[in-house]
Amino acid sequence: MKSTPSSIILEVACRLIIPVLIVFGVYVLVHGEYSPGGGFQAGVVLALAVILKRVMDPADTKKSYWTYKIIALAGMGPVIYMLTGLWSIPFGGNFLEYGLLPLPVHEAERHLYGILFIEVGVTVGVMATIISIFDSLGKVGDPDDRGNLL
Amino acid sequence: MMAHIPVMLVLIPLLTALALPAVNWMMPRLTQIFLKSALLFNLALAVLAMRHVVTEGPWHYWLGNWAPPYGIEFVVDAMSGTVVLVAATMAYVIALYARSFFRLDEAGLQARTLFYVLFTLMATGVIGVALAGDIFTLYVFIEIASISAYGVVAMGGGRAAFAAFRYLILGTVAATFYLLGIGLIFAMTGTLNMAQLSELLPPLMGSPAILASLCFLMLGLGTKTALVPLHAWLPDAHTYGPTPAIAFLATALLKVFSYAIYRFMYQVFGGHAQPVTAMALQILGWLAAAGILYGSVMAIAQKDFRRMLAYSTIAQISYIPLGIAIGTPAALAGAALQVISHSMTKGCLFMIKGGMHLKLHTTDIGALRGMSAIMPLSSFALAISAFSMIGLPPTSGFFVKWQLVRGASEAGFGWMVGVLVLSGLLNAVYFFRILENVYIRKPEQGGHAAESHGNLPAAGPELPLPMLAAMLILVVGILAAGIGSGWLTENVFSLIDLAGGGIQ
Amino acid sequence: MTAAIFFSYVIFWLIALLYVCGFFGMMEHSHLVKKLMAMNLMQTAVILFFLVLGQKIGGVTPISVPGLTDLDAYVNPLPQALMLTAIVVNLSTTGIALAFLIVIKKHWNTLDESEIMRRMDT
Repeated sequence: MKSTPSSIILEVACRLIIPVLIVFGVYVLVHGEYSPGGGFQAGVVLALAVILKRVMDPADTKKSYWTYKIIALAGMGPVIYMLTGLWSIPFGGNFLEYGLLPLPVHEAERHLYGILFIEVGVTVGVMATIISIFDSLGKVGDPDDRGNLL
Repeated sequence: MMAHIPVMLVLIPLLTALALPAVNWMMPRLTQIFLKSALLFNLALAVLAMRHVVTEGPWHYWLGNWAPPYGIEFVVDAMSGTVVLVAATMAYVIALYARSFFRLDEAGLQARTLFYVLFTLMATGVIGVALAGDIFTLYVFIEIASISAYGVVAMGGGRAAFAAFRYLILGTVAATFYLLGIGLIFAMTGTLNMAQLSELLPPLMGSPAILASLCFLMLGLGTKTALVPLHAWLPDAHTYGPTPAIAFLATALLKVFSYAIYRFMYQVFGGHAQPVTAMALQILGWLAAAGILYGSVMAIAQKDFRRMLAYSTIAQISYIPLGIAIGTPAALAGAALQVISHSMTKGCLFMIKGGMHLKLHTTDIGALRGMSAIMPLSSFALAISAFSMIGLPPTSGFFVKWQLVRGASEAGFGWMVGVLVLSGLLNAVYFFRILENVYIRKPEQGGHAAESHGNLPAAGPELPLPMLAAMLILVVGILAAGIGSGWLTENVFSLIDLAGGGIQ
Repeated sequence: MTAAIFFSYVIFWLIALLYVCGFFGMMEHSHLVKKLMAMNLMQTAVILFFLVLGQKIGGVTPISVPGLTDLDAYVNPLPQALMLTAIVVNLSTTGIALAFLIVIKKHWNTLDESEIMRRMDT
């Protein structure tokens, strides 16, 4: 992507849309049980916010601290998922047995919290993956492409 | 902790693969130690799981403590335990080998950590396919293993990217067929749990939907396990991919899909007790026999060692569907023994190929002349692996053929006995040619073998010690599996559950 | 009689048509991006097939409406949950295929399958 200045309409529109996207993404994540939503959808919406900023301002890709480290974040998402699943094992349950999580709430609510934690992990993982796909696909042919095809 | 081993077998490689980029970013020196210790721990757990299966019987683990069919379960029994043990062993041994290989490879991979991430994800997928207790979990793990395999094959350069793209297209079509097959089963029965399906399906076996589902499943899983004529992606992928990746692909990934065929045919669809499934198993037997002959014949015609190994893989992998198709306990013992034997044999051969590539800078068979002078240990490993492929005692390859021949003659398939003997003879043709080059022929003046040492110092061991150690572990394994095959057959393989569908 | 059978299952006929179009597209085209798009068409057809399996006559979306406790009023949510996973798998496959296409284009400067295979054999 070349570093051409984008038009002012695009910039102002993105400045309005991106915060709304982020809030909507978190809303979709948390409302996964009550309305269509959940981890994957929230991850995609949150990734879209970052990608929209990159489309608007291509130089952002080079300045971003996270460009090469995004894969580490993409790995950490499902690790959160698995740690939630393993959390109930020391308390006598099987893997992913939410009823035995050590939370001071009623047993039925523990299932809700367990699923919420899992979905947070999935969201982080999906978001980081989609951003990393966008970054690496857009980076080939850039002036500072490292040259190796991997 | 001990009670959670079935889920830990999948979780440990998965956690390792996902945490590896973060570990590499924050503490780069710990990456290799973290990876190898996790894989070694996983191997120890696999051994413990097998011991539990042999002493106490199949192990069912309920995720979330929800009873099936509402919940997902992981099942370890004799056949799946064997596959898991083989996958865990090969993952560890190849990870030992890979580090030295990549350090010396000139056209080396830049992003090596990402290679190990994909490699460990492949191991996760393979172990998950073996342990899954319902057919949709099987799909998820099939895709984890396959997508990692596509990525890791493409890491070999420009040609490998195209071979990986073809593998991706064919593999995804196969996964789509598989998904359609389980959709039809779900439409007819409403459940996805394998144990429940084995009870619900027998009255429905005459319906066209179940027949279509059987066809789709066999096509999908057959493509992924390189059954002839669905093998077209294999030669290119094996020729151009990086050696450690292809070693794991050929030894563990292809086999686990044959295991999935076995699981579907006998547990879900009822085995030889149902006429439709019996006909499907007979067709599987014909295709497997065709694959054995085709692979052996094509391997003779190759000049490049890598492509010869690819066709040899097609031939040897088809032994497992042959054993599954015959259906007697001896034949299934032969198939399970082939899972063990071929893994170690092919793994050793691929490691030798990598050594050839590093030291002699070529993989042409003609350039192997006089290799025994400069690489004595590798040549010895090559000789033992070749004997195992051909089927000479006391290597395990002989006992595989013996069990399969016994099974075939018990079930009345005399022509399969002929196919097996013929395949041994064809293997002998091309392997003796290689052994002749390695041991007997003198190197030409100014030829490769006489002068080059690659990036390695001229004095000192022929290859780095971890690579030699990995090769020797596998050679010892080949001989141990051969000598111990009687013990294995009596104690472990007799527990393989045919769910009432086998021929006695 | 055959018209009645045909029209009561028309959704399945359409899904089958979509599937076969995808399959045929993959065989027919030699351009790799078109093959990828045809593969996506096949995957979409299978996802639709699963979703149709859960439908009931007069069913509503399986999000609990307070007061509506009759199980037959809700569409079966299990295929929808399964297909979420399948969609994510398709996303990863498409992502990785696009990455391969970029590498292939950079290496060979063409995306035509027959041309690449001709060059690989020489």
